[in-house]
Amino acid sequence: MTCKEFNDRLADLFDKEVKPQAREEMEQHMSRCPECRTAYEELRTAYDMLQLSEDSQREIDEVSALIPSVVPSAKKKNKLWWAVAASVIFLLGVFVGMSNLFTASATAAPQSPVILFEKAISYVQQVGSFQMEVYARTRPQENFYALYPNEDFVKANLQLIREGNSVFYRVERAGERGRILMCNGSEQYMWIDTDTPVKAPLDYNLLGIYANILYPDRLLQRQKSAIEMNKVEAVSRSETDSTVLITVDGTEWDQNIQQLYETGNKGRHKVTIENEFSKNDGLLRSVKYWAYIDGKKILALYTGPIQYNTMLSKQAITAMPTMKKDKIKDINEAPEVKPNRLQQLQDETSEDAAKRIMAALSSGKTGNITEAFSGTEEYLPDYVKMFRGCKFSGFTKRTSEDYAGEYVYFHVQYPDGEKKLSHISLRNDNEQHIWVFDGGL
Amino acid sequence: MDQKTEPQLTQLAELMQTECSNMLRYACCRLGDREEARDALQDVYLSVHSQICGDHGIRILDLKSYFFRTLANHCIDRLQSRAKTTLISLDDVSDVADMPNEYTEKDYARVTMVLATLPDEQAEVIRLRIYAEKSFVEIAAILALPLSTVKSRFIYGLKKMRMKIDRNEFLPI
Repeated sequence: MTCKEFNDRLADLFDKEVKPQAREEMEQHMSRCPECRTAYEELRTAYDMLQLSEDSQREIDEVSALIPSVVPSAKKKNKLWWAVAASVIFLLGVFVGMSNLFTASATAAPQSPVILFEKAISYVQQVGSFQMEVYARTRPQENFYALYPNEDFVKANLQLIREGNSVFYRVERAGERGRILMCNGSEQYMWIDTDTPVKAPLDYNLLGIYANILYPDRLLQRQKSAIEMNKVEAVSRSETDSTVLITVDGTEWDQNIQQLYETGNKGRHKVTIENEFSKNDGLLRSVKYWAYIDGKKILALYTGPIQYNTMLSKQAITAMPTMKKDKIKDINEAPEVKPNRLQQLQDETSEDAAKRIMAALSSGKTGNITEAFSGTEEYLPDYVKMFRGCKFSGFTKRTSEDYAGEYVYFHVQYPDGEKKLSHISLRNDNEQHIWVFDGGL
Repeated sequence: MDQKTEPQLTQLAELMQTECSNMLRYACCRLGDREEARDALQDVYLSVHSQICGDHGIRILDLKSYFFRTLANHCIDRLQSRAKTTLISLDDVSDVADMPNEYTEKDYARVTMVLATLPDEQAEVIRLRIYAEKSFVEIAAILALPLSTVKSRFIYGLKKMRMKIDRNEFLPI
């Protein structure tokens, strides 16, 4: 068989019944011709994507099976007429039944928030994919843990595909040098632009606060549990023609790290979470997260409409900038340290490390901070540019239960006289227990 | 009821028994809406039944092909009277939850949206092959087309879909 003959007969492989001999001939050709095999597999992918789910198939079959067997006798005309009429009536009855199955009763009582959460949790856990836009008060380059109440909203696109036990996702911040986090089912990668990506295992939490958005069932479960255990201050419900809004007032770990500096600890603070559900199907449509800071209610994070089971491309989700594989840094990889320096670095407090780092950035002489930026060396030129000639004071450490590292705050005085409070996030949970840069600035 | 209509009605009843699921699935994926699909199938059944039983009852040589063509035309009429194309708004498509009944309805909307991006002549062949579970020979009879034309429309439709997938054209804006 030539390739032309194969292409001419390609449709036969998708026919309702394929003759065994024809299939065998085609398979033999594909075993010798990778191009023809690829052509077939690409079409097969498109074909498979059009298949209805097993649930849909089963539902149709179950409904169709309700139609009675009507085999009229030619001798009994009257009975034939009634038999046909009965089939018509029965079909109408079946259709009415289907209508009842599919149409929610207009007089159904409003469902309690807990039930709404339960349904939405169940739906979300079974979807094959979803995507949404998330708007958070943060900075494009910041890691995915922190929120900055005084910053503008930064948009991030979230996409997730589930395949069996594997999950593929992408969180991509908009804006210049927006941070990107990707999971290819077995590992996570995080990078900014074409900077060296950092690689991390699946169980390494790089998602931060976005974990609750990427896995909305977790956010819903927490609220449901809090309601059930009477740990919320208030739950309210409102409706439009098409949506139900459940608003939960409770407390959360403070993600405002400026407040951490001012109060000494993150603690818990009041939050309001608005959950919008579609009336038609009970799906979670959007979320808004309000934080109370200095008595003011501030919208800290919100999502656009959550779109479920959209046709996402795994290829697009897992795409990475072209780079040499040996440039990818493992997040657990110990930074290279000269032996005589190791003890010195291990003895540092986070404040000492922060002072050393900021002094180096201010002077531009970064030779003695390479260990701290192991894996993030590409950020150094930008930070040198940002802090060149600055003076620093008031280095103060803060910790919180939900972060493995430490935040070190300091006052910055810029060459033009402007003053500002800033911070650097450092963590030393690596093999050598030395402080490495983890965000902030 | 006379001797002309009895066999046709019998054939119609048997057709409904054997093809009901295929017809319903086709209509669901044509209209993207389960309730409307069942209405359409019901309307077409009653229409064909009335035509057979009417005063000037027609004799249909290939009832299966005739029924599917009638169903396809009826779906098109419904779509046009809805003042929409076969496109489903992204908001509707987005409401997909993997639960019985609600999920299946959105499954239909999903495939309807995807096929709406193809030329209708290609999409129709794909619908009849996948959802109505018709062979290419049967499709050729339903659409009154040469077999080669049916096969080439099918392949071109899949190729076009594949290109759109590779170009991420199915991602919402």
